[in-house]
Amino acid sequence: MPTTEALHQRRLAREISARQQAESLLEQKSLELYIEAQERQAALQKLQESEERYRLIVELSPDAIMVQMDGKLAFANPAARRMFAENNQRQLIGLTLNDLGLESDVAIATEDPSECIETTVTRLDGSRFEIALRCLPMTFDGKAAMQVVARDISDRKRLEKEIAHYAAHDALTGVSNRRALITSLSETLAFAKRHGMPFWVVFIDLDHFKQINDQFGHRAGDRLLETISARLRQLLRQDDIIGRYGGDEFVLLLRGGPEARLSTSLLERIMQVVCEPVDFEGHKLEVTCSLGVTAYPEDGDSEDLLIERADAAMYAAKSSGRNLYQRYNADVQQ
Amino acid sequence: MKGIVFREFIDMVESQFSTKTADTIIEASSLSTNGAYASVGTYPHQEMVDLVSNLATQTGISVPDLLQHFGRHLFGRFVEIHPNMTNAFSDVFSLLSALENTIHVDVNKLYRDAETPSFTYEQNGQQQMVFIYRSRRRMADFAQGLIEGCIAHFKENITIERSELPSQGEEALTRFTLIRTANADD
Repeated sequence: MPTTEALHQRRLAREISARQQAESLLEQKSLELYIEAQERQAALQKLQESEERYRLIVELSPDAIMVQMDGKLAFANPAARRMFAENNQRQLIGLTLNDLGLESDVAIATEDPSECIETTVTRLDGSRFEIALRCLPMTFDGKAAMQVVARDISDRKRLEKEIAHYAAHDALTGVSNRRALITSLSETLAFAKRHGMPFWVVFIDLDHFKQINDQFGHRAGDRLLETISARLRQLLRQDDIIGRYGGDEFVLLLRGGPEARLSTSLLERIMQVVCEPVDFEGHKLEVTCSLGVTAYPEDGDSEDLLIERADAAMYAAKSSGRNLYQRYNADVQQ
Repeated sequence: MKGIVFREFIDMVESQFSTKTADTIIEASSLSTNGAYASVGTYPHQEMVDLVSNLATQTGISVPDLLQHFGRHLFGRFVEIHPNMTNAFSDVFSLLSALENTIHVDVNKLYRDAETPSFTYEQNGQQQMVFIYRSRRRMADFAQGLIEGCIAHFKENITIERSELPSQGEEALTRFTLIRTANADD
């Protein structure tokens, strides 16, 4: 049987051993915590670097990047502030998408985040501009949010319009070029066939235009064509079409309602505005013109027929002495 | 098994039986550290089985009784050591229902190598809770002691009906049905 002293010694030995184990575990735990802290620090630094990279991308992005949360804008990058003309009085943060005229577009864009939709929005100063828009659901500060990325496409849209204009208009006179004129004629014809609407094709050829070029030079001829085009544009209605068909040839498409009639006074006014003198470097340029007229549906039901017959009527007017208009009829030789 | 459980067990033996009894069962058991346990260390569960078994031999008290007794004792010690753990609950059922998903989650955070048993419970109204203990260590008696310690702590009138369920693989399953009974004052 162990003595009390022996028991005490064994108990003490166990306590010392337990303490040594505890110290060893503590040391091991300290090391683990140190390594964990190092790893956490490295991960944190990596995360901070990554955040900094993304922050720079967002800050420097030429596209507007905004975040909508709880129905209001919670973030806007510098490009967004510039694009929407933020000022000291009005700031983007706290506004709704509706304030920018974007709400319904965002709803559409959200349905397909890969889809880029083009729309017109409102700056904070009330002016309007065009953007390409893309939306993506995201988490912002732990809440469901919507990322809205917008690119200002106003310049592109303006260029597109300019290109479309140049493609369809005569560079000298600004009226429709021949291709656009034929397209308008086709559209007018299709509409007229569907709705039973009459319309008229007026073929205009300037009389002795070559003499102007020969006598005063091509700049004079150009000035004459420009002036005549401008006068015709002023004379005709918004719905009518003026096209430059060839060098000194113009074609007018006169469109009216179902009951419209072609008045001889309009043809006379057309001839009158063409004949009015044009000032050019101290000279008065004067020409007359010959007109050939066809009517849909009486004189043809195709683009080619209506143009060819109007052209033939114009030649008949020339043959009859020029400075005349001639309505197409069966006696006109094509 | 965490060293704190061994330390509490040996402390209990020393205080409730004798220092000599504690020394005797330690000497008689096959222990990896000769009975020296650090609270935060982790030691083989078999050592607890050996210690309890030798205590039974020494005292003539059955192993189940000793385990239940230790469970009751240990719950009281937990209340002293970790008062926040028990203060967060108002009664036995609320504490037991939080055991699996709250208390053991915290224990496992604190001690990554802790092997907590798993429990499932089903509360039938305010009067009854069915509590299923599942463990490879087969320490249902110890679990019962802990539950009894918990009941004593909250001073509730709850009876425990215990039934052993068929084992599932290495795991023993025990069902404890806790039934609230009317207070003597009612």
